[in-house]
Amino acid sequence: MDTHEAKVYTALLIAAIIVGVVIAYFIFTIVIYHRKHIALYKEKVGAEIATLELERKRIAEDLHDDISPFLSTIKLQMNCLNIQDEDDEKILENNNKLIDDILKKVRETSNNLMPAVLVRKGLLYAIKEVAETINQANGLKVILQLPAEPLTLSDEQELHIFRVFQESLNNCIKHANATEFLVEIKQHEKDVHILLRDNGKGFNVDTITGKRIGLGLNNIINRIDLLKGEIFQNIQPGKGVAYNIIIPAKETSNG
Amino acid sequence: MNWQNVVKECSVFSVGIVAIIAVVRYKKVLKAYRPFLYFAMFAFLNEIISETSIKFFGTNTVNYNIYTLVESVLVLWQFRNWGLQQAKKKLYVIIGVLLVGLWIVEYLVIHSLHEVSSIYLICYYFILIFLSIDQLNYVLITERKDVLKNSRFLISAIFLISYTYQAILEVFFYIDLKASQAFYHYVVFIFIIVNLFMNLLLALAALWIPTKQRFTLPY
Repeated sequence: MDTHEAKVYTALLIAAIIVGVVIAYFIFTIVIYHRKHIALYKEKVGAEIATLELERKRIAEDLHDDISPFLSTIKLQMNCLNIQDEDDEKILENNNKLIDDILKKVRETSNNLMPAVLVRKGLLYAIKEVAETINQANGLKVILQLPAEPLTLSDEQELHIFRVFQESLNNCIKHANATEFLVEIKQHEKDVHILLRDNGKGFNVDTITGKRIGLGLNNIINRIDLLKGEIFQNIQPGKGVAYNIIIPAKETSNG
Repeated sequence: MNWQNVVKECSVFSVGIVAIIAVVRYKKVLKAYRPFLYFAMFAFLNEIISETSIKFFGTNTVNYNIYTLVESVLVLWQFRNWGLQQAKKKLYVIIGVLLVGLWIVEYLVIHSLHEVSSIYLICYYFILIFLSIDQLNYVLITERKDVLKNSRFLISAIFLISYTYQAILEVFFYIDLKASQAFYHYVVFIFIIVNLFMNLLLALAALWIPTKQRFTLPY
């Protein structure tokens, strides 16, 4: 190389280094800001979900602890009335039935908002209870493959998994035209594996972006993210929907 | 063999590491990533053919020109597989048809396979740069975990860096400064070093190609 070529080469080398540094810095900042953005997003979603669950719990408690006793008291007092007239007797009877229906509805709503069995007995019993209700009432058959022993999950983890199960089951009932819904839960040493699968019509995941159907699915992903879990899909049109979920188990103390 | 030749050989065969990972992980990884695996295998095959060709015929122009077509089709196929989630099927087919058409015009009509030409490569590299940026942006709005462990992000970032350098290099050759052989040797050496690093990063990306389809939506 002569002196001129050497100068051009030096300029080129410096230009190449500058281009490299600029691109590398650009990607580096993207990664850093993405991490910050994700942390903030998770914080926001976590707060939203926590607020939602608190509100659900409060409304469920209000319905169960305030409205139900009031209605029961009204029913009791109505039954203490000394009615002679036959027409009035019939009205009283109808009102008793109405109050029973309202009480039943209040219990159902309260239970949907925050299942008492989930709070008292845990995730496996809550899933069993929902499955029994669906199997009695619907054309859908819920098949359960659950472990005999309780899961090593915290109450919060169990609540989020239950909501994911509810969301997935609701989607199945509303959209899938499925005849079977399988829930399989396996406890491993370090994590819990959950399979939720239906034999319905499935859908094309690539086409749901930005549509309303994405809201419920986003809710599922957000809850799994909160649990630091992973969710894998096997969804194809005509071949049903399957979610494989892996949740890290609650750390148990050795001492 | 001086140190520059050692670096050159390392750079040339570093794609072999990616190819080996591609062969080993072929059946395990998601089918959507297979074009990338084929790309790695073909790149390594091309390096072997190039070395042999240079040894026996003194040039690797023919196989290199054919390889650029195969590479562009495989890389576009890979982008198409990723683009399915963005519903951009037609875009990649149109780009593919245009690129193949341009390759035929340049290497079979205007020039020949025995000639070195830059127009096709410059167009191909710039298209890949834009597609890589598009993919990087898509990953950023969908990935909820660390993007550095997302092979799609890594591959797109590596393509962005690698093909930016290649595009600059091709433009440089296209201008033709009438400089000495030694000058061009040093210019190419810059690219060789970049290529070595990029291939090592590609190996990392190949190791991180997912085996199961993670469920994710834009947030």
